[in-house]
Amino acid sequence: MKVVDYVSYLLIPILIIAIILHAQKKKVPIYDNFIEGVKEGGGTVLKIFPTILAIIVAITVFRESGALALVIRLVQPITSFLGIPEEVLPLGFMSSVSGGASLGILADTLGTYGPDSTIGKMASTILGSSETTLYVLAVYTAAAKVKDTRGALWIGLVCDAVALYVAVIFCR
Amino acid sequence: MEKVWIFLILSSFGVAIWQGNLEGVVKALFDSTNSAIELCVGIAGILCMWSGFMKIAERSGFVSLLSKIVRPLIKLLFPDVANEPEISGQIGMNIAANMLGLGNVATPTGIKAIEKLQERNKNKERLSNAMLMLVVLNTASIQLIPTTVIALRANYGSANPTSIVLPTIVSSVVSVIVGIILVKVVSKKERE
Repeated sequence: MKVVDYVSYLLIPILIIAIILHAQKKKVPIYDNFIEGVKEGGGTVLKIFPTILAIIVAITVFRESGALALVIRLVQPITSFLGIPEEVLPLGFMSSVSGGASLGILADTLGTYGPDSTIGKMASTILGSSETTLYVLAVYTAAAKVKDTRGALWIGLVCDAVALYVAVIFCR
Repeated sequence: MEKVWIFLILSSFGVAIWQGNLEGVVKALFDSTNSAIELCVGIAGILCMWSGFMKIAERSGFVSLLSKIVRPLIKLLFPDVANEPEISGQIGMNIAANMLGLGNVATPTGIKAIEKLQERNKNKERLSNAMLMLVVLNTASIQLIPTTVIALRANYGSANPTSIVLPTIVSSVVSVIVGIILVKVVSKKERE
């Protein structure tokens, strides 16, 4: 895991240095563009806040009431047979459905188990390696105005399941 | 989403009443609003910083440079449109933006790409092979640096927030390969 940590550390500075050097070569204003991007980032935060609040409230009461435990108890025999810890199941379910919701669940998981615990790393990897399948499918099929998606949803969900399983194995 | 949200809230109170845990749930309800505020304040800084760097990358042409690098990949994944530079350039931009985690570049370029593909689609009612590939590539994550997740980990006091980058890449690559194989299988079945 030490090597993994180091390579992960290294990727960020390499990317930043490459971006800056390339912009310098192309004579693109670096500082001004950075500031402009930061402004846009602020807009993104404001945009995601309502969803995050709505989901954190719903997920918190769902967990505290004991309702989540009931659901997980239902699917656990299958997933534990596959070696998937029950703590990452809620995130696994939600990451295909809602980006904001899964972000809320990840925050919750990191707060409960700690970001550097095995569970914390698994959950981070699961969310990092999944896209909100339902949202993407909705946007793209709407843009193209097609009715027959030829099983794109199922292919997307299979990909999500594979990503989850690989994340669990790799972080264990 | 609305149905899911309503279900979560109502079933929570239902279960709480059933298990006699109403007091704990009401406390959790109000505490949770604090965590939502803390979360947004916590990730705001890192999210803004990355948007800054990515804006430079976008303007300097670093993103389109990446689309040139992925051109051989487009030949492999989209054989039907590889000879049309306008479409393949658009797809390349979309893939590049996805890899860098540029959500607000990836979505517009992806939409433009699928519209162009639809113009050449023989059956307007269903996805063509190339369109199916584009959709699946966008539903499976091919992001190199999961910036939001890293920001969140830093916010929760991780000793090494970026330690998940490599596992994330491995997991993404495996699932994307599975997706590509499935699309190729579906495409091939169509041609026969």
